[in-house]
Amino acid sequence: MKSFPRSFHLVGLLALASASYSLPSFAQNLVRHPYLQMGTPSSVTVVWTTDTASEGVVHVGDDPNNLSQTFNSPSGTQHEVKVTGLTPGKRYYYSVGTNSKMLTVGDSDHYLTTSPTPAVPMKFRAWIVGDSGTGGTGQADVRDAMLNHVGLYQPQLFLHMGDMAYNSGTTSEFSANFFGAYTGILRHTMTWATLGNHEGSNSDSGTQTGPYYTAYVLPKAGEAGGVPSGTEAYYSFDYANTHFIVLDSHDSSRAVNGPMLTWMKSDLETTSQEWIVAFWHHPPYTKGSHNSDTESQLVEMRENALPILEAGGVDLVLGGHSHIYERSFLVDGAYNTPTTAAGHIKDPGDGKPDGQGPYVKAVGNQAHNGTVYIVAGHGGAGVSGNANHPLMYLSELAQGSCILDIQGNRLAIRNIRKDGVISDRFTMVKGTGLAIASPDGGETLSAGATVPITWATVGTIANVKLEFSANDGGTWQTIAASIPNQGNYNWQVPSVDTNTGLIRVSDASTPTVFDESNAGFKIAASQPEKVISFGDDWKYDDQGVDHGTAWLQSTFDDGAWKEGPGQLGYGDGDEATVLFNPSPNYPSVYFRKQIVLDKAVSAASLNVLHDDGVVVWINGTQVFSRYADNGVDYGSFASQTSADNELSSSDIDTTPFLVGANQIAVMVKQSDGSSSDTSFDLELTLTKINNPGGSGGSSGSGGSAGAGGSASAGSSGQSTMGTAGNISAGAGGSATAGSSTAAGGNTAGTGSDSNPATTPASDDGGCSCRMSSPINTASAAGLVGLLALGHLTRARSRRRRSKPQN
Amino acid sequence: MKCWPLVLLGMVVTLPATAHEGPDAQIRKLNQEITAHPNLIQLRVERAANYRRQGHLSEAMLDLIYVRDHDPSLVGLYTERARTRLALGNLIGAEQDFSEALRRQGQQSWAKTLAERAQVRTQLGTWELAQADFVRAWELSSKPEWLLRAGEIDERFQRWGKASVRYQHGLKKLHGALTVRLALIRVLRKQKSFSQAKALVGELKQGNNLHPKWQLLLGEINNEAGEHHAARKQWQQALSDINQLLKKRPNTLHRLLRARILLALGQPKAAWQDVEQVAKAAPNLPELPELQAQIRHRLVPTTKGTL
Repeated sequence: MKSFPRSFHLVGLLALASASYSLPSFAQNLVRHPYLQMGTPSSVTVVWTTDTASEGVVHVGDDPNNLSQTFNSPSGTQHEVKVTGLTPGKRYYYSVGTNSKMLTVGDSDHYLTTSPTPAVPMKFRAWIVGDSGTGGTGQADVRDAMLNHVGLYQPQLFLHMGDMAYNSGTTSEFSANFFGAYTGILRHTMTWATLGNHEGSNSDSGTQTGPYYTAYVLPKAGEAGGVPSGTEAYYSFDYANTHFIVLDSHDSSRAVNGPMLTWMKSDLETTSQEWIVAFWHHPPYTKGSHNSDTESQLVEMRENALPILEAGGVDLVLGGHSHIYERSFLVDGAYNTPTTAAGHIKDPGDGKPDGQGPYVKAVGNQAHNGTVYIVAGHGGAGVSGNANHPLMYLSELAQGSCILDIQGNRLAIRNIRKDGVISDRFTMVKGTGLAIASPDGGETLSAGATVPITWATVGTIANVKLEFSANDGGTWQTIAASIPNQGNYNWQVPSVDTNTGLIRVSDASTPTVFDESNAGFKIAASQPEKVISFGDDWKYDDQGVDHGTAWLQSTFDDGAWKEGPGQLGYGDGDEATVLFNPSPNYPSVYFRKQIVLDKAVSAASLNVLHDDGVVVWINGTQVFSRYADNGVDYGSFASQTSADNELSSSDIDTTPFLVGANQIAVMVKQSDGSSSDTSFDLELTLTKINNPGGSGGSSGSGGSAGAGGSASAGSSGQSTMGTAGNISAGAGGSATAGSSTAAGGNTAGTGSDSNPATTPASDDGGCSCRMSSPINTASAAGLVGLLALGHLTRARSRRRRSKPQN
Repeated sequence: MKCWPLVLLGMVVTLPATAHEGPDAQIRKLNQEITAHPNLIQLRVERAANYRRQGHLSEAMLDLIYVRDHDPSLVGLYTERARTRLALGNLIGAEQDFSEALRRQGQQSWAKTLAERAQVRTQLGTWELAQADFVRAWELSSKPEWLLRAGEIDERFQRWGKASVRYQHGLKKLHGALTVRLALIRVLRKQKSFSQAKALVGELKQGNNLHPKWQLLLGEINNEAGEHHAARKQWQQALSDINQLLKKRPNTLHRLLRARILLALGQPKAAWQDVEQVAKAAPNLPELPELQAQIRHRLVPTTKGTL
């Protein structure tokens, strides 16, 4: 357990809990868990596969406990159910199954969100991954680094650059290396893919057959926006104010007058979206594991596709194939082979809002205003190459993935290395605008400390207004109504607990010109509190009775059980309460304890002394286990012998904790019938939420809790952007770290977050700090789940829909 | 642990160079693998493909000759040798090899090989054979390109009816694919089936709006149909709309489109101004030379010597 990233713990624990208690007899039927395809403002296609043929049924609703609408598909093992009649930009919950049984349950983690109405400048986030499909630890590390970084602010879109199923894109490789690797993400993130050469080994763009084309349901007829391509090999779609163009650089003609580029030109001409992002597998510029000066697919895409794309004002071009992270300057017109930089770099700066400033483009899709090219072939396969392409601002031989954030007229990218370091970041602004540098999401701020709010300005803005939201934009408190625009402001952090803090900077005279933090930051005003100590009393049953699963619940009657202080056990001589020592040993001993909480919990950790195995449940949900791989039922022995009085520590999921009575249930397991001893004691430390909905003081004074915040404890337990179960909400941080090779005579970004009041979780120190922090990974999820940010979701949606385009 | 070397050997034997790296790196890897496993003839086919991609055609042929001498039953030999021969300009040899590959291949690979052979046959000028290959490839698959290539051969020989039927079938099968729609409109215009052509353009409306690109096309059809007033009205509307669009989105594609609209409206000088700007900003745009030539042709009587 120690060797796995924390998010893995959380996912694993919850998956286990789910498998054990929610879906005991169904899970074996799912080969690929549900994933989302072909999102439009009014429909989403839910896809899953089963090991035997059956009809497919999707239940959908606004509430996971009330999935009132039903949609069907014919019998088969590949189920593609189109859910229609939906409202744009809205979250729905769903479950999948057959007419007679459910394969997943309706819960807060199975949700789909329709695309916003095109042209609406809604803030959104996309995860960019390429060349990931190894099924190895690199891929998992990259995934977990992203999840750790984004926390609650999970991407709405998953853009895959191809090579998602090594080595040959077979059905089983897809199942294991893509659908298996990203199950928890795919169930609520709309996936858009492009064919990689490895998928091309067993899939054919001509016949639209093979595992790739079977797996994906992609638009042929312009269903998701754009012009009909007639093929799933290349297509386009709209999301908010962005038009995405997806090309097939592997198996479709790359000729200038070929169908793909002919279609693309018309598609570009007829889109009216603010941003244009294009992606395909073979990158036009790279010196990684592939060379764009010598390989035909790369050369042809550069020479044939780029002149049209740049003439159409493309803003961002993404690729994979080359196993490296490369990010260009703002460039234009570099079509020649070999590529040279002279005359093609529109802006030689770093594009960083806290560096040389954002890349600036004119409003609308003006041609040849510059494009940034990214090679994101670092999602899991081993990296290599010379890393010296002349157009690249940064070339880095390290695995990772990218996050794209678009809000109004501001586009931002950050590269998340698999070690959690944010090694690159840039922003692009169209027209007059503001771009927040910090806090930009993921930071942990100390209540009462003074931290700088920093931002970059494009154009002329004399005075700015600063605001703070403690509830993800549900309500805003003014920090400064109008101050001279100097690009920074020292802000005294209010004493409020939040994982969803945002800063908004706007033009004091033109409020529609604004930027807000890409994701929430954390303020921890509360301190951890030990609610169960070693030596506390526990009810226990050591009589060899199998209580099934009933004993996990608070309703179970343990009145007949004995009670005694920890340490409980036998055989070591250090026990405060000596348990019955049968021969042979019983497999398991039960312990129960109830605690009452007056506030919701934002973080939880436990220390448990055990011999041999141990499993811990909170209110019926398993949150921890050690040496319990043989099963968590009464009759299963521990899967391995522990050390005497072995002490295990872990942060645990906060989701199961409730305001009010909470049932703690522990099962200690013997390794076999002849073990000479057993031991148990436990400490539980919780951080309770202080003033969850309130926001900070005004004008930088801090401390005067505002009235803001629409969240209140005890509501529906729905989450806003992510949910407990497959996220670990560790702080991401916006600091950049300069550890990379810089091409073109530039140096990589340097750490920018030097304020001692912040915890830049994105540098190495921050990472280790995060891992040992008492504010656990699940805290954000728990906070959201417990605080029923369904309220915030609605408030947020309303706010965004009404936001004028700037 | 005892199994480990076998596992490694298995990986080397069963996995080709995985295209994780570029052709140079793959060739280096294949060199090692061929040295270690000289009897694995397939590796030489793969190396030949990488040599070909790098333009080292002689080295590629040497590998393929070795393969022919040692295992002529290897199907991959013929497709790869066909591609190499094609790169060498040996069209006859390429066609023969593709034909041989088709005889030996499983049906699942036919479509691609048929299309490759069709392209060779196009270069050879054996149009009917080429078209038969494209048609068969299209029947086996749904790649728009193959339908269009088959249709283009019909158009080449002015078999408008056949082309029209082919495209109509394709449009239905390809969910209204734009490229097929445009091809069908082109053929319907040749057939003077103007109302059908206009209906196909009308289907490109987004809501109630028809993009100026399609208004231009609609005007052209009206003009051909003798409805000159309607055509002019359509083009004027297109010009008005593209001017609005250029205010919001002044990109080169839109400027180029305005040049075409202006040309249709008989304003070649204004069109030339747009094209000049496009030529400065995007000299590599593929359609630029053709449009420049058109405008020059219209301008010659009045501005000869200035262009």
